[in-house]
Amino acid sequence: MTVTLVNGKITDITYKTTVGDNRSAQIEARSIPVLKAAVLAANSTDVSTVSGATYTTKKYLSSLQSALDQAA
Amino acid sequence: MTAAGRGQRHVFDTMGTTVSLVFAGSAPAGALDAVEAVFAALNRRFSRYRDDSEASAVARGDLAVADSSPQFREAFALAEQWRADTLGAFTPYRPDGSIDLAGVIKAQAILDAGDALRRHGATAWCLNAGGDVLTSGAQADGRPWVVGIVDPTDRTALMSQFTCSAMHPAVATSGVAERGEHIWRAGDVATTASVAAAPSSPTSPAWLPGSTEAVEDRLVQVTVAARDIMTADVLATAILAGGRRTLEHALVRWDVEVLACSAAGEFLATDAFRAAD
Repeated sequence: MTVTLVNGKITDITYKTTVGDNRSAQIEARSIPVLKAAVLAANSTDVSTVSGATYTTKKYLSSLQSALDQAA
Repeated sequence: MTAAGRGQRHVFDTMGTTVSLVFAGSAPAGALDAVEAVFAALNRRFSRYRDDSEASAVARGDLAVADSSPQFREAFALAEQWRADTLGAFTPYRPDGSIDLAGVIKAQAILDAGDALRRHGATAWCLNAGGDVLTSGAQADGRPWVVGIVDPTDRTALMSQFTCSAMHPAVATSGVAERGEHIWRAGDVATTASVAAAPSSPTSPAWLPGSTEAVEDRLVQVTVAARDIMTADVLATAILAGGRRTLEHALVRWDVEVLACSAAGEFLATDAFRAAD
Protein backbone atom coordinates (compact mmCIF):
# COMPACT_ATOMS: atom_id res chain seq x y z
CA MET A 1 0.00 0.00 0.00
CA THR A 2 1.30 3.43 -0.94
CA VAL A 3 -0.09 6.55 0.64
CA THR A 4 0.70 9.86 -1.04
CA LEU A 5 0.89 12.86 1.25
CA VAL A 6 0.87 16.46 0.11
CA ASN A 7 1.32 19.06 2.83
CA GLY A 8 0.42 16.44 5.41
CA LYS A 9 -2.85 15.48 3.72
CA ILE A 10 -3.56 12.19 1.99
CA THR A 11 -4.08 12.78 -1.73
CA ASP A 12 -3.86 9.24 -3.01
CA ILE A 13 -3.83 5.66 -1.77
CA THR A 14 -2.80 2.77 -4.00
CA TYR A 15 -2.69 -0.92 -3.18
CA LYS A 16 -0.36 -3.63 -4.32
CA THR A 17 -1.47 -7.19 -3.65
CA THR A 18 1.17 -9.85 -3.41
CA VAL A 19 0.11 -13.08 -5.12
CA GLY A 20 -0.14 -15.88 -2.56
CA ASP A 21 -0.57 -13.41 0.26
CA ASN A 22 -4.33 -13.09 0.05
CA ARG A 23 -4.91 -13.27 3.77
CA SER A 24 -2.74 -10.30 4.62
CA ALA A 25 -4.22 -8.41 1.66
CA GLN A 26 -7.69 -9.16 3.00
CA ILE A 27 -6.80 -7.93 6.46
CA GLU A 28 -5.10 -4.85 5.10
CA ALA A 29 -8.20 -4.11 3.05
CA ARG A 30 -10.38 -4.37 6.16
CA SER A 31 -8.59 -1.55 7.93
CA ILE A 32 -7.51 0.68 5.07
CA PRO A 33 -6.70 4.29 5.80
CA VAL A 34 -9.62 6.49 4.81
CA LEU A 35 -10.05 10.20 4.44
CA LYS A 36 -12.11 11.86 7.14
CA ALA A 37 -14.88 12.40 4.61
CA ALA A 38 -15.03 8.64 4.04
CA VAL A 39 -15.65 7.90 7.72
CA LEU A 40 -19.32 7.24 8.47
CA ALA A 41 -20.65 10.49 9.90
CA ALA A 42 -22.67 10.66 13.10
CA ASN A 43 -26.34 11.55 12.91
CA SER A 44 -26.80 13.15 16.30
CA THR A 45 -30.56 12.62 16.33
CA ASP A 46 -30.00 8.83 16.15
CA VAL A 47 -27.39 8.66 18.85
CA SER A 48 -28.47 7.11 22.18
CA THR A 49 -25.13 7.22 23.95
CA VAL A 50 -21.53 8.31 23.41
CA SER A 51 -18.28 6.32 23.37
CA GLY A 52 -15.00 8.09 23.94
CA ALA A 53 -11.84 8.03 26.00
CA THR A 54 -12.66 7.45 29.66
CA TYR A 55 -13.62 10.67 31.39
CA THR A 56 -13.34 11.53 35.06
CA THR A 57 -16.45 12.21 37.11
CA LYS A 58 -15.63 15.91 36.90
CA LYS A 59 -15.11 15.86 33.12
CA TYR A 60 -18.37 13.95 32.70
CA LEU A 61 -20.24 17.13 33.57
CA SER A 62 -19.00 18.82 30.39
CA SER A 63 -19.26 15.71 28.19
CA LEU A 64 -21.66 14.97 25.36
CA GLN A 65 -22.91 11.98 27.38
CA SER A 66 -23.91 14.33 30.18
CA ALA A 67 -25.79 16.51 27.69
CA LEU A 68 -27.63 13.43 26.41
CA ASP A 69 -28.46 12.30 29.94
CA GLN A 70 -29.88 15.71 30.81
CA ALA A 71 -31.95 15.91 27.63
CA ALA A 72 -33.75 12.68 28.49
CA MET B 1 -34.75 15.63 33.76
CA THR B 2 -38.36 15.21 32.65
CA ALA B 3 -40.89 13.12 34.55
CA ALA B 4 -41.03 10.72 31.61
CA GLY B 5 -37.28 10.32 31.58
CA ARG B 6 -36.87 9.80 35.30
CA GLY B 7 -37.90 6.18 35.27
CA GLN B 8 -35.70 5.30 32.31
CA ARG B 9 -32.32 7.02 32.62
CA HIS B 10 -30.05 6.65 35.63
CA VAL B 11 -26.66 8.21 36.28
CA PHE B 12 -24.22 7.42 39.09
CA ASP B 13 -20.52 7.90 39.85
CA THR B 14 -18.15 4.98 40.41
CA MET B 15 -14.57 3.94 39.62
CA GLY B 16 -13.59 7.57 39.20
CA THR B 17 -16.00 7.99 36.31
CA THR B 18 -19.72 8.22 35.61
CA VAL B 19 -22.13 5.49 34.57
CA SER B 20 -25.27 6.20 32.52
CA LEU B 21 -27.90 3.51 32.22
CA VAL B 22 -30.94 3.81 29.97
CA PHE B 23 -33.83 1.38 29.89
CA ALA B 24 -36.03 1.09 26.80
CA GLY B 25 -38.93 0.44 29.17
CA SER B 26 -39.13 0.85 32.92
CA ALA B 27 -36.40 -0.45 35.20
CA PRO B 28 -37.32 -3.74 36.94
CA ALA B 29 -37.40 -3.49 40.75
CA GLY B 30 -33.96 -4.01 42.26
CA ALA B 31 -32.11 -3.83 38.94
CA LEU B 32 -30.48 -0.47 39.61
CA ASP B 33 -29.31 -1.41 43.09
CA ALA B 34 -27.83 -4.61 41.67
CA VAL B 35 -25.92 -2.68 38.98
CA GLU B 36 -24.57 -0.15 41.47
CA ALA B 37 -23.53 -2.97 43.81
CA VAL B 38 -21.55 -4.69 41.03
CA PHE B 39 -19.51 -1.54 40.33
CA ALA B 40 -19.05 -0.73 44.03
CA ALA B 41 -17.72 -4.20 44.88
CA LEU B 42 -15.15 -4.24 42.05
CA ASN B 43 -14.16 -0.66 42.83
CA ARG B 44 -13.52 -1.52 46.50
CA ARG B 45 -11.26 -4.43 45.64
CA PHE B 46 -9.43 -3.22 42.54
CA SER B 47 -9.05 0.56 42.66
CA ARG B 48 -5.43 1.67 42.88
CA TYR B 49 -6.55 5.14 43.97
CA ARG B 50 -8.07 3.71 47.15
CA ASP B 51 -5.34 3.04 49.72
CA ASP B 52 -7.52 0.44 51.45
CA SER B 53 -8.10 -1.71 48.34
CA GLU B 54 -6.60 -5.13 47.81
CA ALA B 55 -5.08 -3.83 44.56
CA SER B 56 -3.18 -1.12 46.48
CA ALA B 57 -1.92 -3.69 49.01
CA VAL B 58 -0.57 -5.82 46.15
CA ALA B 59 0.96 -2.78 44.43
CA ARG B 60 2.71 -1.71 47.66
CA GLY B 61 4.12 -5.21 48.08
CA ASP B 62 2.18 -5.74 51.32
CA LEU B 63 0.28 -8.63 49.77
CA ALA B 64 1.68 -11.23 47.36
CA VAL B 65 -0.49 -12.17 44.39
CA ALA B 66 -0.28 -15.79 45.56
CA ASP B 67 -1.87 -14.74 48.87
CA SER B 68 -4.52 -12.49 47.32
CA SER B 69 -8.22 -13.31 47.06
CA PRO B 70 -9.52 -15.75 44.43
CA GLN B 71 -11.22 -12.76 42.74
CA PHE B 72 -7.93 -10.88 42.48
CA ARG B 73 -6.03 -13.89 41.16
CA GLU B 74 -8.80 -14.59 38.65
CA ALA B 75 -8.72 -11.01 37.34
CA PHE B 76 -4.93 -11.09 37.18
CA ALA B 77 -5.02 -14.37 35.23
CA LEU B 78 -7.58 -12.87 32.85
CA ALA B 79 -5.41 -9.80 32.25
CA GLU B 80 -2.35 -12.00 31.71
CA GLN B 81 -4.30 -14.08 29.19
CA TRP B 82 -5.18 -10.89 27.30
CA ARG B 83 -1.52 -9.84 27.42
CA ALA B 84 -0.61 -13.12 25.73
CA ASP B 85 -3.49 -12.94 23.23
CA THR B 86 -2.58 -9.38 22.18
CA LEU B 87 1.12 -10.29 21.89
CA GLY B 88 1.95 -7.97 24.78
CA ALA B 89 0.12 -4.88 23.53
CA PHE B 90 -2.29 -5.06 26.46
CA THR B 91 -0.54 -5.23 29.79
CA PRO B 92 -1.64 -5.40 33.44
CA TYR B 93 1.61 -3.76 34.52
CA ARG B 94 2.47 -0.12 34.96
CA PRO B 95 5.89 0.94 33.70
CA ASP B 96 7.12 0.80 37.30
CA GLY B 97 6.32 -2.92 37.27
CA SER B 98 3.36 -2.79 39.65
CA ILE B 99 0.13 -4.59 38.78
CA ASP B 100 -2.80 -2.44 37.62
CA LEU B 101 -5.92 -4.36 36.62
CA ALA B 102 -7.97 -1.28 35.69
CA GLY B 103 -7.78 -2.38 32.05
CA VAL B 104 -10.01 -5.38 32.68
CA ILE B 105 -11.95 -4.35 35.78
CA LYS B 106 -14.19 -1.71 34.26
CA ALA B 107 -15.13 -4.11 31.47
CA GLN B 108 -15.69 -6.85 34.05
CA ALA B 109 -18.01 -4.51 35.96
CA ILE B 110 -19.97 -3.69 32.80
CA LEU B 111 -20.16 -7.39 31.93
CA ASP B 112 -21.33 -8.34 35.44
CA ALA B 113 -23.81 -5.43 35.45
CA GLY B 114 -25.27 -6.75 32.19
CA ASP B 115 -25.69 -10.18 33.77
CA ALA B 116 -27.37 -8.58 36.81
CA LEU B 117 -29.77 -6.69 34.54
CA ARG B 118 -30.72 -9.87 32.71
CA ARG B 119 -31.23 -11.70 36.03
CA HIS B 120 -33.68 -8.98 36.99
CA GLY B 121 -35.57 -9.46 33.74
CA ALA B 122 -34.32 -6.36 31.91
CA THR B 123 -33.84 -7.14 28.21
CA ALA B 124 -33.59 -3.73 26.51
CA TRP B 125 -31.05 -1.29 27.90
CA CYS B 126 -27.91 0.69 27.13
CA LEU B 127 -25.16 0.87 29.77
CA ASN B 128 -22.36 3.41 29.39
CA ALA B 129 -19.50 3.42 31.93
CA GLY B 130 -17.10 6.28 31.30
CA GLY B 131 -17.41 6.00 27.51
CA ASP B 132 -17.50 2.20 27.21
CA VAL B 133 -20.87 0.87 26.15
CA LEU B 134 -22.81 -2.39 26.40
CA THR B 135 -26.29 -2.67 24.92
CA SER B 136 -29.05 -5.24 25.00
CA GLY B 137 -32.11 -5.44 22.78
CA ALA B 138 -33.32 -2.24 21.14
CA GLN B 139 -34.74 1.19 21.92
CA ALA B 140 -38.39 1.56 22.99
CA ASP B 141 -39.46 2.33 19.41
CA GLY B 142 -37.67 -0.75 18.07
CA ARG B 143 -34.70 1.07 16.54
CA PRO B 144 -31.27 -0.34 17.40
CA TRP B 145 -29.06 1.43 19.93
CA VAL B 146 -26.70 3.84 18.15
CA VAL B 147 -23.41 4.83 19.78
CA GLY B 148 -21.83 8.17 18.85
CA ILE B 149 -18.02 8.22 18.71
CA VAL B 150 -16.33 11.30 20.17
CA ASP B 151 -14.02 13.33 17.95
CA PRO B 152 -10.57 13.06 19.60
CA THR B 153 -9.74 16.61 18.56
CA ASP B 154 -13.01 18.10 19.85
CA ARG B 155 -14.76 16.39 22.75
CA THR B 156 -17.91 18.38 22.10
CA ALA B 157 -18.30 16.82 18.63
CA LEU B 158 -19.00 13.35 17.28
CA MET B 159 -16.81 12.00 14.51
CA SER B 160 -18.73 8.82 13.72
CA GLN B 161 -21.29 6.37 15.05
CA PHE B 162 -21.89 2.65 15.41
CA THR B 163 -25.21 0.85 15.20
CA CYS B 164 -25.28 -1.97 17.75
CA SER B 165 -26.52 -5.44 16.85
CA ALA B 166 -26.79 -8.84 18.52
CA MET B 167 -23.42 -9.66 16.92
CA HIS B 168 -21.79 -6.44 18.11
CA PRO B 169 -23.61 -5.12 21.18
CA ALA B 170 -20.46 -3.70 22.83
CA VAL B 171 -18.45 -0.59 21.92
CA ALA B 172 -15.35 0.68 23.72
CA THR B 173 -13.02 3.59 23.01
CA SER B 174 -9.52 4.21 24.29
CA GLY B 175 -7.85 7.52 23.76
CA VAL B 176 -5.22 9.87 25.00
CA ALA B 177 -7.62 12.81 25.11
CA GLU B 178 -9.11 12.32 28.59
CA ARG B 179 -7.05 10.06 30.85
CA GLY B 180 -4.08 9.09 28.70
CA GLU B 181 -1.80 8.30 31.57
CA HIS B 182 -2.95 4.69 31.85
CA ILE B 183 -1.96 3.75 28.28
CA TRP B 184 1.47 2.19 28.05
CA ARG B 185 2.76 1.69 24.52
CA ALA B 186 3.95 -1.64 23.16
CA GLY B 187 7.71 -1.86 23.33
CA ASP B 188 7.83 0.48 26.26
CA VAL B 189 10.42 -0.88 28.62
CA ALA B 190 10.73 1.91 31.07
CA THR B 191 11.95 2.39 34.57
CA THR B 192 10.22 4.76 36.93
CA ALA B 193 13.04 7.23 36.40
CA SER B 194 12.65 7.35 32.62
CA VAL B 195 8.87 7.69 32.91
CA ALA B 196 9.33 10.66 35.17
CA ALA B 197 11.80 12.15 32.69
CA ALA B 198 9.63 11.59 29.61
CA PRO B 199 7.81 14.63 28.24
CA SER B 200 4.07 14.64 28.74
CA SER B 201 1.15 17.00 28.49
CA PRO B 202 -2.56 16.71 29.22
CA THR B 203 -3.27 15.79 25.61
CA SER B 204 -0.26 13.61 24.89
CA PRO B 205 0.88 11.06 27.42
CA ALA B 206 4.50 10.38 28.08
CA TRP B 207 5.84 8.89 24.84
CA LEU B 208 8.14 6.41 26.36
CA PRO B 209 11.41 5.14 24.92
CA GLY B 210 11.16 1.88 23.01
CA SER B 211 8.19 2.74 20.78
CA THR B 212 8.97 1.94 17.18
CA GLU B 213 6.36 4.08 15.44
CA ALA B 214 6.91 7.65 14.35
CA VAL B 215 5.03 10.10 16.57
CA GLU B 216 2.60 11.06 13.78
CA ASP B 217 1.72 7.38 13.16
CA ARG B 218 0.81 6.82 16.79
CA LEU B 219 -2.88 6.34 17.39
CA VAL B 220 -4.66 8.88 19.54
CA GLN B 221 -8.06 7.21 19.68
CA VAL B 222 -9.28 3.69 18.96
CA THR B 223 -12.89 2.46 19.00
CA VAL B 224 -13.67 -1.26 18.90
CA ALA B 225 -17.11 -2.85 18.50
CA ALA B 226 -17.27 -6.50 19.55
CA ARG B 227 -19.50 -9.32 20.71
CA ASP B 228 -18.63 -8.64 24.35
CA ILE B 229 -17.44 -5.62 26.30
CA MET B 230 -14.25 -7.27 27.58
CA THR B 231 -13.02 -7.92 24.04
CA ALA B 232 -14.01 -4.42 22.90
CA ASP B 233 -12.38 -2.68 25.86
CA VAL B 234 -9.15 -4.68 25.97
CA LEU B 235 -8.62 -4.49 22.21
CA ALA B 236 -9.26 -0.73 22.12
CA THR B 237 -6.53 -0.31 24.74
CA ALA B 238 -4.22 -2.81 23.04
CA ILE B 239 -4.54 -1.24 19.58
CA LEU B 240 -4.01 2.26 20.99
CA ALA B 241 -0.82 1.02 22.64
CA GLY B 242 0.39 -1.35 19.90
CA GLY B 243 -0.53 0.62 16.80
CA ARG B 244 -1.21 -0.84 13.36
CA ARG B 245 0.45 -4.17 13.98
CA THR B 246 -1.88 -4.84 16.87
CA LEU B 247 -4.84 -3.60 14.80
CA GLU B 248 -4.05 -6.10 12.05
CA HIS B 249 -3.54 -8.87 14.58
CA ALA B 250 -6.92 -8.06 16.15
CA LEU B 251 -8.71 -8.16 12.80
CA VAL B 252 -7.25 -11.59 12.05
CA ARG B 253 -8.14 -13.05 15.42
CA TRP B 254 -11.42 -11.43 16.54
CA ASP B 255 -14.72 -10.53 14.90
CA VAL B 256 -14.51 -6.80 15.54
CA GLU B 257 -15.12 -3.46 13.83
CA VAL B 258 -12.49 -0.80 14.42
CA LEU B 259 -12.15 2.96 13.93
CA ALA B 260 -8.72 4.40 14.73
CA CYS B 261 -7.34 7.90 14.42
CA SER B 262 -3.63 8.75 14.26
CA ALA B 263 -1.80 11.75 15.67
CA ALA B 264 -1.48 13.04 12.09
CA GLY B 265 -5.26 12.94 11.67
CA GLU B 266 -5.30 9.82 9.51
CA PHE B 267 -8.19 7.39 9.93
CA LEU B 268 -8.17 3.61 9.82
CA ALA B 269 -11.65 2.16 9.49
CA THR B 270 -13.27 -1.21 8.94
CA ASP B 271 -16.49 -1.45 6.90
CA ALA B 272 -18.95 -0.52 9.66
CA PHE B 273 -17.21 2.83 10.15
CA ARG B 274 -16.98 3.71 6.47
CA ALA B 275 -19.54 5.87 4.69
CA ALA B 276 -21.46 4.11 1.91
CA ASP B 277 -19.91 4.81 -1.50
